[in-house]
Amino acid sequence: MSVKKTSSGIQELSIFEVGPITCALSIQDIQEINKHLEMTRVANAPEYIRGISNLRGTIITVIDMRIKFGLEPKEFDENTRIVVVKNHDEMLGLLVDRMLDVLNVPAEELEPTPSNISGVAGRYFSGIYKMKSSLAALLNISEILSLNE
Amino acid sequence: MAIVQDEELLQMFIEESKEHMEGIEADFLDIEEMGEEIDSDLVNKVFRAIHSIKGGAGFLGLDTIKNLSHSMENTLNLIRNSELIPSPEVISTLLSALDTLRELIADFMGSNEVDISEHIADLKAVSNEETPASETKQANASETRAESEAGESETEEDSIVNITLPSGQPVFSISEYDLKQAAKAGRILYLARFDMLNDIERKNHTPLDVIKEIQDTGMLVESKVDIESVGTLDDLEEHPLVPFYVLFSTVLEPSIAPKLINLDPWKMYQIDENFLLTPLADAPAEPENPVPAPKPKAKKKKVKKVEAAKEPVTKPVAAEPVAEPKPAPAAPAKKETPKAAPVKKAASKQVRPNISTKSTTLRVNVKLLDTLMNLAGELVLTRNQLLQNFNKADESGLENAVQRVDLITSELQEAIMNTRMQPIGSVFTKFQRVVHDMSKNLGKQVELVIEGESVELDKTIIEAIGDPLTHLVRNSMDHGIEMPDVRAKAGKKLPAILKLSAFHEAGQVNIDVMDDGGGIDPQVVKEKLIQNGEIDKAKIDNMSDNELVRMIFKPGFSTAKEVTEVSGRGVGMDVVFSNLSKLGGSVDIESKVGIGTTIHIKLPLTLAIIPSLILDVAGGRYAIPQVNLVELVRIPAAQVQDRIEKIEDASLLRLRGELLPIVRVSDILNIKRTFYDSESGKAVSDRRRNISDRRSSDILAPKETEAEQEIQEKRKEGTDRRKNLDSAYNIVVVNAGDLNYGLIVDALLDSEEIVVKPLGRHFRGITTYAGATILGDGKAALILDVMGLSSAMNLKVVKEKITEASLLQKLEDSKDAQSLLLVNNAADEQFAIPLGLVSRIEKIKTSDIETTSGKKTIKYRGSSLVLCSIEDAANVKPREEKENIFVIIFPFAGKEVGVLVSEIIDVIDSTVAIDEETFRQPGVLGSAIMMDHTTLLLDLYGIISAVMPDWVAENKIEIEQKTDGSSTILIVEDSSFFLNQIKGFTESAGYNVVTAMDGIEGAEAAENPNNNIDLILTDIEMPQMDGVQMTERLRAQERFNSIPILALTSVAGDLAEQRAIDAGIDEYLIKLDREKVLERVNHYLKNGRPGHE
Repeated sequence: MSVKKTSSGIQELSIFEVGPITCALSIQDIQEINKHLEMTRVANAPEYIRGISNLRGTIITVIDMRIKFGLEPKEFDENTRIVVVKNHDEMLGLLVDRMLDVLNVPAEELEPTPSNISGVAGRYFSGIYKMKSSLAALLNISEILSLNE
Repeated sequence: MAIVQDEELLQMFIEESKEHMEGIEADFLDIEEMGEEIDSDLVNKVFRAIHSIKGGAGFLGLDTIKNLSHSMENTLNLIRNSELIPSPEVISTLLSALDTLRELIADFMGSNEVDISEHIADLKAVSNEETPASETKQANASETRAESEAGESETEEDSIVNITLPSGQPVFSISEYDLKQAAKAGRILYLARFDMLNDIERKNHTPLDVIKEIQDTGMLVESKVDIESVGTLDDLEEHPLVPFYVLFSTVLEPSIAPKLINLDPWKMYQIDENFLLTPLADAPAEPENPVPAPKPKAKKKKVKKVEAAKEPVTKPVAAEPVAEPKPAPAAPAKKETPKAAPVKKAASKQVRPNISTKSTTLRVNVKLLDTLMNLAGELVLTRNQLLQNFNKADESGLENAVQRVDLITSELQEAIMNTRMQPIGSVFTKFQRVVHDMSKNLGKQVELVIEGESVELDKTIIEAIGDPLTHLVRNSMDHGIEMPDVRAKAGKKLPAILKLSAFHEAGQVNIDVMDDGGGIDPQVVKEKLIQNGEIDKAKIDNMSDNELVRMIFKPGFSTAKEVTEVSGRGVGMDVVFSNLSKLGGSVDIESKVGIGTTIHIKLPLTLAIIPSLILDVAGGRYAIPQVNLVELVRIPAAQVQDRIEKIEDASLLRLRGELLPIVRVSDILNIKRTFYDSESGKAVSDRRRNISDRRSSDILAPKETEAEQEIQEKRKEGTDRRKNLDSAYNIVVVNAGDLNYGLIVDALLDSEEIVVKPLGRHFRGITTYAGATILGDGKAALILDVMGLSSAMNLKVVKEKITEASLLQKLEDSKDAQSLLLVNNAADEQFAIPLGLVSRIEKIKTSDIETTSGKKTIKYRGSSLVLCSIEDAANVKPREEKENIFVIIFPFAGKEVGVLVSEIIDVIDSTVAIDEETFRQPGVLGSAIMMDHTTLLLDLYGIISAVMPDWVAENKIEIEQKTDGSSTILIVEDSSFFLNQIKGFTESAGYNVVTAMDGIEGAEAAENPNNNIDLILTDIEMPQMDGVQMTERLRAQERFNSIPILALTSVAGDLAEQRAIDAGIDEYLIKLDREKVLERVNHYLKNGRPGHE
């Protein structure tokens, strides 16, 4: 998940969209990608938590990436996906707007986060991948899932 | 030797060792207590346990564990042979070695690097110094030494013996002392050579099985797997692939011994007193090497193959005296063993197999497993049935199959739950040690009493209650129980008692931690609270003693005069409280200064599957565990205003004379109106949310004028499409420990068994949920934590005040409350019958009533039941003509009689005064207003005497004959109505009657010698002094010891009954049951009190 770890060889990145941000996550970090799961709201929970869901018998916490990035929440639609990741032995879902692609990326094409990307979302990125026409931000999962808000 | 890399074996060893060590602590302590008078069975048991650990460890290459257990075993052996007195010092050394042993086993992979030389030295030290301490022992020792010296030179006593195969291959190096110990008492030493492949694996055994088998009949000395000797491929044909050597001793003769361990005789050797090996039989094909290798002490001729049976069994016995040397010289011999451990370091630093040291397996009763198997089989059959019927679309078959699935699933669930159940004793016994150590540390004398060890709890709960219980025990030891001199001064007995008990009650497990120590002084708590200054002084002053004592569950609270090492610093009871709450349990405390403290813990049996109520709040579904449910209440709109009150900031529900705090679930959960809007502005549930929110503020906001209230109600009705939902409140009354409160929910959905799933770590810190679950439709739902909800709403204090106030109110109410059955005869005339007199109520058809010789009867339970109508005796309207009417059946003169009524209305508890004058007539005792109607209180006996005068006459004669007519009865009763009634029928039975209107009058009347009272009939609830107090006062005087006192009560099955009986009341009777009263009065006058005259 960090740049260092992937500094050699080719990495498969899953590319998806959260609002205007194109994000990338190594497919090794991803357990599965789900279409719409039934969501149960949890009152009193942190704002970025969209709810809990039943993933084949396991209760997963679903995190709304839009709110994490300081964007307005959005209704579920055709393209909404839940990216299931594992962290601290716990399954969690990341709610993203749309899946784009899976790319084979040589390690050297990953670059550290430019210093001018800062602000709310900056700390959630661990690197940048330059695609043909745009940039994808490599997500720092442990920072996104950390409890310190 | 390197650690054997077989996960399964290691795991098995770990588990068995843990099992072995389980009870040892307590056993050690018992051994210590018995001192010189050892219980050899007990010592043997401990010895065997340690020995098994040693055996397993040796086999697995866990050398440090082996060495430590070996040293412990030596010390135990001395105790067993009465060569060492198990003094507290010895036992302490053993206990600390046991602790280390436990640590070693928990981290067995790293165990070989642990330095245990200190323990071994300590063990040696205690073993040595004790021997000369006792003179007789010394004599014995010198005697044995003399003998041993005769046998062998002293230097040889502590030498190391090499056990070598006849082929010259060395197998073991063992202290000679150990060998001789093993060969004592007619036991024969054997060396067995297993082939791991052929003799163990192929026979579906494990080496541990073998060791176990051996331990059942003999004594294991040493075992090892000889990996070094594994030959090259070329040798495969001649040599066993992996030889596993076991050195053991048993009393079994060489002809039988191989059968014991299921090994070919030629793979076994007998070891003689010179430690030479003789195979028990010729190897069938194996070319035996007849030339033995040179041995370290080889002065003897070479060993020939001797017929096994011919070897004299007595030979090893001859070596016995040698085997009892003073332990001192034996000790230095072992120096080599511990040193061997560090050398192996390099070898053991291989990649460790990934075995979690936490217990991950569970022992399950085979029977239970069979049950599970059967159920699984049945499930498969039912599935087939289901599929078949589904394909055929056979509806009734489907239904059957579904029912079976339902049944099997619940049975399966139960059986699986059972596999998780473990006795709580495993937790309790560890406190033997805690109490033992702490008593020493603190200089207190405490005896631990354990009750209910066999009560079973779910594994997860068993694992989780250890810490809270330890804390409570430590707390009791440290703060509760006084120093011996303080106890002596207070006249309390020594040792102090600390009791742990467990029992089942109402689907929960109760654990009590009780001590007879100083108790918690509410005044001290109060001072401390005031000193802390966190809580208002006014509030503190308002607290009851119980509340004050409960304050110790608050964070950072300790009443100890000084903070001690033992019970921590302030982090204490609050941690216990929160830990147990997390488990779904509750804690309460009861304490009396000078008498002791009891902490009550209630825990659910299991956490995994819990029956729950599913409810709807703001469109979301939530579950509440059934164990927390008290009742469900629906308040119709019309009653909302009357029954929901507001005091300060809290809403309260009036429920059967009590005030119950109520809260809206949506308020606790902060379900905001804007919350959903931001996400989906269009959802229907959204608007509904708003309405319910407004509704919530209706009841929670202070009530303004009634008119305004009405307007609000109307407005609601106008805007809401769901009138029924709007018009009433569904309140779920729940119990959170000592607190009951109501939760207002939108709807009650269903009751379901739910599987508890943990919530993710992002929800940490949210106390309102106990977890999540998956409902039947696959959607996730949250489980509400009633404890968390109550603390979130800070409901505690409100309740306390209410309870006490309401208790007083209740007490007032229950005074002379009479349970009455309200009935109609004619539609507009209401009657009441004391419920206590009624045996049964039956519904009959009017057409079934027969009239025979002027009497109405009905066939009832094989005989005829005589029926009376109220109008036959009293001047009331005739019974309404109906097809079905009711018969109220009550006993009379040994028979049963029925009174006909047309309608049963209700059963009420009435306290209203009865007017005896206005409606007085035969069959009617009096009247009162009940449920807005004038109600006539029926006199069932009056009715019978009017309808069947001959019956009553008969009965009267009978009673009069029984009495001598001269006895005097004192009737104490505060209600003149009842007083007159009782006086009436006792006097008519021929007794002299003295009356009193309350306890004080009663006592005075009884004490007045002129009255010469023979028997007392008393009410319980009376002003000034109640019946119980009066009885206590009278019973305290000797002359009243033999006078029977009978209590008369209006409510059957009163809870106060026990209190009354404790006070000395002989029997509890129902006030208007005149037959029974007369019968018992007569009985007591004739026979006196049981145990007096």
